[in-house]
Amino acid sequence: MTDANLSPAIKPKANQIHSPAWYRLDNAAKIYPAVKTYKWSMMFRLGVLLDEPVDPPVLEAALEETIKRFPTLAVRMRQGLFWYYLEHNPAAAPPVRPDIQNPCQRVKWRENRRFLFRVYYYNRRIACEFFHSLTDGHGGLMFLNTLTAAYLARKGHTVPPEGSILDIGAAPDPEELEDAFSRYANSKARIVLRPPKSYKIEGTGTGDYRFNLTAGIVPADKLLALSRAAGVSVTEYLSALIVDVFYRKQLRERKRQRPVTVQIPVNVRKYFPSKTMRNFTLYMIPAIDPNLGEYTFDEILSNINLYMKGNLNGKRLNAHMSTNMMFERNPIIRAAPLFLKNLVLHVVYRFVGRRHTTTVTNMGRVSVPPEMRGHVLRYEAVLGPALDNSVHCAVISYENKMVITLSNTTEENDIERDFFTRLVKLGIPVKIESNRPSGEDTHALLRQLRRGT
Amino acid sequence: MPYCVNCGVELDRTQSACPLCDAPVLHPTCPVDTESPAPYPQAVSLPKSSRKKYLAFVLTGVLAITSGVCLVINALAADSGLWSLFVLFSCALFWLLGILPLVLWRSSPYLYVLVDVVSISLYIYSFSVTLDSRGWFMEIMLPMLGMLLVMALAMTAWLRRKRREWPDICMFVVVSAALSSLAVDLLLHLAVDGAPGLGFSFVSVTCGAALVVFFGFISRNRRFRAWLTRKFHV
Repeated sequence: MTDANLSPAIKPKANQIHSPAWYRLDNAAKIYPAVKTYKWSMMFRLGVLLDEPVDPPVLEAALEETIKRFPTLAVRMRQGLFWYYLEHNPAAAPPVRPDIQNPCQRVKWRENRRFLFRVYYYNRRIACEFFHSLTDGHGGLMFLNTLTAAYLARKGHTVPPEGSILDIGAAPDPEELEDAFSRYANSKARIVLRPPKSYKIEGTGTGDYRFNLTAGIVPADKLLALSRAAGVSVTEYLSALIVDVFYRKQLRERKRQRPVTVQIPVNVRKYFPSKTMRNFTLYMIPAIDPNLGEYTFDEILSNINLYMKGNLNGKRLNAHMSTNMMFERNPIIRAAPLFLKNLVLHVVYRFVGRRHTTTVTNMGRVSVPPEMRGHVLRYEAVLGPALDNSVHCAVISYENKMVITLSNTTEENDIERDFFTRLVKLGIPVKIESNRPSGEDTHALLRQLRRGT
Repeated sequence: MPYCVNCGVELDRTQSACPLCDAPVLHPTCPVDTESPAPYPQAVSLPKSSRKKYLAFVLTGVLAITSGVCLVINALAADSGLWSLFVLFSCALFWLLGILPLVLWRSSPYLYVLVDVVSISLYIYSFSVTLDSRGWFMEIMLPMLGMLLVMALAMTAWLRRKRREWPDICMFVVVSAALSSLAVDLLLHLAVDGAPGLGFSFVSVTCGAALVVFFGFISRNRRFRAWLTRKFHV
């Protein structure tokens, strides 16, 4: 397929795209390079399952075409004296690689042609992994959809640029490149979220560069009906369910009971309109404290629902992001050298930043143009491995298929089993897919890991 | 479509066991599909340890420059003796002990032990040759190094066999130390007096025996170990 076969809307227009040579990291992005370790970085993955096997050379060509439309992704990380910053990457695109069993590995500034995101293919799946300093789930999904549309266009299926698909021939809107936190953070109120020291699961670690994924595919309408019947959103319902699973696991352990907290990322674009492709997400952290007494599932549900109702509004979100920006705007902090900032952020993150028990992120329902619908089977979202033992949950829906992916850094799978069997007991049919090797595969995998290949 | 009889979830046709409970899939009419690709790839990829190799490269350069400079200075001032050889041997020993593991990342631990003991032996031997007194090396050092090699290999094999508790590891170390002191004592008596005998090793063996009893008690008494952990936690 050549450029002549592309639809006029998708066809690139030469010399049209101008983007800044460098970007300051946005407020949310600043923490991730500082807390990154030699073996771990904050990564997330978005994938799309197509109706036919992926053609790697075509995907590579589509990627080279698409990356030009996303100047905030076509960057490399650089160190300044006081801050990290993102600089335009002159390389064409990162290499397109066959997918692996252990995704979301750490980024290194010099690897992957210095790009901070990776593109994989496996059978019918296209998957993109992003370092969180680049973008959040919204930006990542826009990129994946645009890449998929460009790929389909090269395969002879015309997809018009609308909704979450950008016109790869057009110049990027300046609003797409903006730091939306700086634009909107103007509240005089201050809100500091200090989650209590929470329950953390114990277990056998999976080892470096590996974690277990378990995806449950459920009918979105049934789960939506269940949530509506309980008078809550799907995110709140799933958060309550996973909190309940952790709460009951902690009760079974008969140890000192700690609060169970769940971190729920919120796409702030819904409250503060912005087209930014960079990070624009804040976090809600509802919690239950087992020391207060026994909780039923309904009580947990109402607890989370009330917390979200009380905190999820423009004023409180603005106060929250203004508090975050306060540190960044402080002249003394700004003048501190980067190594000192890194040290302080690393220590703060280790001791305070990851106190929550789990994370539930809901990417929402993906909608694509009708021309693309027939070629897409479903979407997948994965939260990368955590720095410590934990299970995190990412949810994404497409048409009537909701994919709930639990990423676990331990070998034990009781959280996944409890969570999905609870859904089955609630009358939701669940189809399970996992990257866990079984039986002889486990020994083969361990041998492979020991060999270091 | 196969379902897990235990969890009630639907499984992919390629799954031979339930990922949630490991229950095997035994479908009478729908055998496990071994032809189609699995939902997730099975190929594992580990990132390259470029930092270790980079560090090894830099340290090798530093050692090479140090040795080279010393050799040149020593050659220019030939009347100052062969001191540069000691620097050269020390650099070589440091390279074998400290830098080689960075290059041979993920190699067998037996290989590390063997390389370490052999390099230490050669290092000490080089001193005995340079100082022209090989007797003490052959009579005392070589048997001691041989014993060190055997004990290090035994400990490596013992630790690799299964996960050991810390009191057991302490016991092993204490027993090894007591045996070493006994062997050194015997060898010294043989070399100096010409007949076997015991001296300072009596104290170390007695202390070692007491420590072995103590750690053995900790190893077997879980309550005592828990009490110790509670009382002396840092």
